[in-house]
Amino acid sequence: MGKQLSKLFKNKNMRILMLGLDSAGKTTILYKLKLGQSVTTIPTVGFNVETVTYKNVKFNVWDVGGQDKIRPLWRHYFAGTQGLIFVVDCADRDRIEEARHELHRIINDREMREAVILIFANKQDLQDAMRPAEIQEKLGLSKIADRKWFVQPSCSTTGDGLYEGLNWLTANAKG
Amino acid sequence: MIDQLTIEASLADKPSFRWVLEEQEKDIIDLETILDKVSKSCKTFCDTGKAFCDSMGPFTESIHDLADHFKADEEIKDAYTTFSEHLEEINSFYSMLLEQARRSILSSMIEDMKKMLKEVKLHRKAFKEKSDELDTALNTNSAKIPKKKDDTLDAINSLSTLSDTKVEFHHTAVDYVYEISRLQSGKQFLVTDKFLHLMYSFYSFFHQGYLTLQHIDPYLKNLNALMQQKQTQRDESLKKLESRHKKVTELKNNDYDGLMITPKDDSVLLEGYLYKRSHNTFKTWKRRYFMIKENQLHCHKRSKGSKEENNKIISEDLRISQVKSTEEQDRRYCFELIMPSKKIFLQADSQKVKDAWIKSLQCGIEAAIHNTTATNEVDNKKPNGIPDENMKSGNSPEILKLLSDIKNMPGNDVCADCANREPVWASINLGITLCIMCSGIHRNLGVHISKVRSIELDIWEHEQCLLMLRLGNAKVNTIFEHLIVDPYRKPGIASNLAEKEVWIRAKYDEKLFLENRDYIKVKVKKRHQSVAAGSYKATSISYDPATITSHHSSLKVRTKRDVAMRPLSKIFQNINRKKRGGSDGAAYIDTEQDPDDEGRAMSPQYALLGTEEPNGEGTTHTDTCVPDNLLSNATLSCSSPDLLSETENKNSSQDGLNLNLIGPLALNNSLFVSSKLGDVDSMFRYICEGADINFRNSTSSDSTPLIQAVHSNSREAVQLLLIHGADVNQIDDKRQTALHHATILGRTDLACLLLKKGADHRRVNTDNKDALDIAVAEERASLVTVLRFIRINEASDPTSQQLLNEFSRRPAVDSER
Repeated sequence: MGKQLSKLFKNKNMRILMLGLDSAGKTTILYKLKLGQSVTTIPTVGFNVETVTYKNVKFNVWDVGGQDKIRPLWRHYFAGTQGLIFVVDCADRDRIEEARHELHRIINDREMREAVILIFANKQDLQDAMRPAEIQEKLGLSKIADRKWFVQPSCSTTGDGLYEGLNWLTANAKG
Repeated sequence: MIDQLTIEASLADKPSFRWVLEEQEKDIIDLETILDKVSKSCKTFCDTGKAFCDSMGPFTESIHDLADHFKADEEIKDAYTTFSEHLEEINSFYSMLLEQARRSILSSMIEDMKKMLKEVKLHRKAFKEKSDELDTALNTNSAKIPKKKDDTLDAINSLSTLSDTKVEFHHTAVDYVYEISRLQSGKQFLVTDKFLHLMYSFYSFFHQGYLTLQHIDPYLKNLNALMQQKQTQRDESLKKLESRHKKVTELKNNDYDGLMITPKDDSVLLEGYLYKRSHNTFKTWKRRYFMIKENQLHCHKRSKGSKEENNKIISEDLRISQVKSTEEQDRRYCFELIMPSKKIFLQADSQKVKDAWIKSLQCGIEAAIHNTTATNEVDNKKPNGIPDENMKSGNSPEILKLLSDIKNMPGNDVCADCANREPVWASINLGITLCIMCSGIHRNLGVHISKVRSIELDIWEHEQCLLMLRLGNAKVNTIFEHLIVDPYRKPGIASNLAEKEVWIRAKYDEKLFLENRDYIKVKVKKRHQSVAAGSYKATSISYDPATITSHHSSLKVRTKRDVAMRPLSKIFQNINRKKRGGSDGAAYIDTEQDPDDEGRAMSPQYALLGTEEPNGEGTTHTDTCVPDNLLSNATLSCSSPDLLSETENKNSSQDGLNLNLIGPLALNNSLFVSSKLGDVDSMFRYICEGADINFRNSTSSDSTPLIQAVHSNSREAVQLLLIHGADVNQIDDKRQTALHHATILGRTDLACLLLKKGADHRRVNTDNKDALDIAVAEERASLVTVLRFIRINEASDPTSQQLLNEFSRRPAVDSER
């Protein structure tokens, strides 16, 4: 009982790995969460890591660059990840298949088995952006039954949808 | 032979003889003493000489060791080897000399002499005895007078005894004399001869030694010269060291932080001492020597331990490391190195050193990512060790060559937007190279405007490279920077992010600097539609791009028509407002009534944007010169962008100003024609100016630019249209797609390009035939193969994707019938 109480009041830590194709908006999301404002980012060569506290949960968010050749480095960040945020540029229809491929590669990795999957269907502000249902279909998520996943529409520049995503992570990730 | 010492004299035995004998005896004793001395000293000489020779061995050995010590310098090492060899040789001569001395003096001469002396001594003794006997006999003989008969007999006996004794004595005496003579006569010859031998031995010893050394004389002379040279060098270096304290002062005056050693080794990016916080509970700080080397961060202790212990690798892989300044620590000048599994805290001696370390580590990380990702095969394996064949590992040599060609194109050596050197980013649809900062801004525009890729970190497709090679910064900038209008200025290397952002949005999003700005009104219309659709929250956040762009919209108009600036922006705002409010029709009425309009005829001026010089010969300045009264002739309805576009779509011309001379239709037609010709430059220009990429030409069998590009046989043209969003499955009046056309033409490469972009190979034309049917009918062997393969493998796409990649690279027409 006491343990549960302390668990309720104590700050919870969560290791989050944020991946996605290059130019999906990962770094913009990270700094929108951290600083509360939209910054103009440059392509991430390497990674960014920030701690974002939201509703008593400390999210340790690792944002790793998404260029083709640095995707093989993603797996170095898998260990200990409780939640995966996979960011998709919903306006980039040409590369949604590529995104699906990368997503499945990540979630099929042994080290990522425990992680819950949050998809940010990003750049919803743009004309012609794919809607969450379409993203869900095109990423082949509907077929995944043994994992917790969620598609959250978002706009990294305005911040729309980002905290909804964090709420889902808090509620669904394993302690 | 001594004169008085004759046989006769010995027989006579006079006192003089005895005196001479005494003298001779004295002389012989003297000789014996001297010879004893010679023997002793010679023995000492030989013994000490031998000891000398023996001690030479260790000495030459030690010289040999010196040679080993100087092995770094070949010349010096050789010198010592020569020294020791020659000294050994001379030493062997010396031991030979000693041997000869021993033999000639000690064994030969001294032994002989001793033998003779012994003989002399023996004979002397005998002589003395006989002499005494003789004296006794004489005494006996003379003392007895014969008194009796017996006595007489005795006397006779004694007499005979005396004579016998006398004879014996004489024999002994002559022998003695002989021995003395033998000795005295031989001593000079025997002794001197041996000493002569000895002198010759010395002679040959020195002669051989001389020859030996003479032989290496030139070598020694050279060595001497070398030594002098070294001496001069040393003097010089010592002279330099004389100013050693000055150096310290200099260092102090200039930069006492600069205790970092400037790396000489190219593989080392930076090295120097830092404090490192240990992982133990006390979190003590220890001073260690760090090195950024070979994509790793190494750490060394000052004391020399075992090699493994001393060379600790802090970051095994800089590619997955990040460096950050840390302010939280209670110490100054701290920074941290973050890796997925750990965090290292480091401290520099000063801000300057800290900055240098952070900068170098960042460079090291970037270099590591750029250099090694392509070749690191370990990363292409899944943790279970099975290679993941779907993982892209890097660009093929062929693509790398094309990428290097792209970088080397004239104009591509600097960023297309800010002239930063060596841009390694690119926009694959705009065909330009960019610096990393500008690429970041391009990404914010959205993929419908600019698709950004890294030249070094992304995998490129063949056709993407080809298109890049057809466009390039120089060509593209002549289109997008045809006329830079005030107040815009092209950013430079030093410009900040905000300046670049304003420029890039004006250039590519607003397209303010195009020659044919006819496009603008269409663009504005589109934006307002999207705002009206409510998908864009224009008012919520201060950073919202919508606000920025609408601000730019007004800015844009201001620059073109500074007179009309404020009112026009008002118009937009009003339209905006009105649209959200409801009726479109109210928009321009509202504008008309706006008190800020200052009575100017705003609407016709805006309308002019759509009526601009059809042949492109006019400029902004001529526009501004158009008198207001003429402008007012334009229809009022043009004040609303929506209505304006509508007007154009109807191809209506009103009140003497032909609005559609270069309206969308003309532009679309131009794109259509240039696609037919495969003229990529013109196509690109018309696309930028706003031509409808999916335009169906009703006058030409409803064909599209894409179908025309397929007919032009230009892969670049097809790629250009596809990358700018052409619908790959659009059909003409025979319900044929571009894939149908490519199949009819037998262009396997183009067909594969279309298939890669999602062309529907099952779509049928009016004759109810799909691409495969046509390929079979036309006997296009490789196309039939490709299409059949795709159909079979539809479920498992990766392999067919590879096949498409392979075939889309082959430019030849499929002639295998």
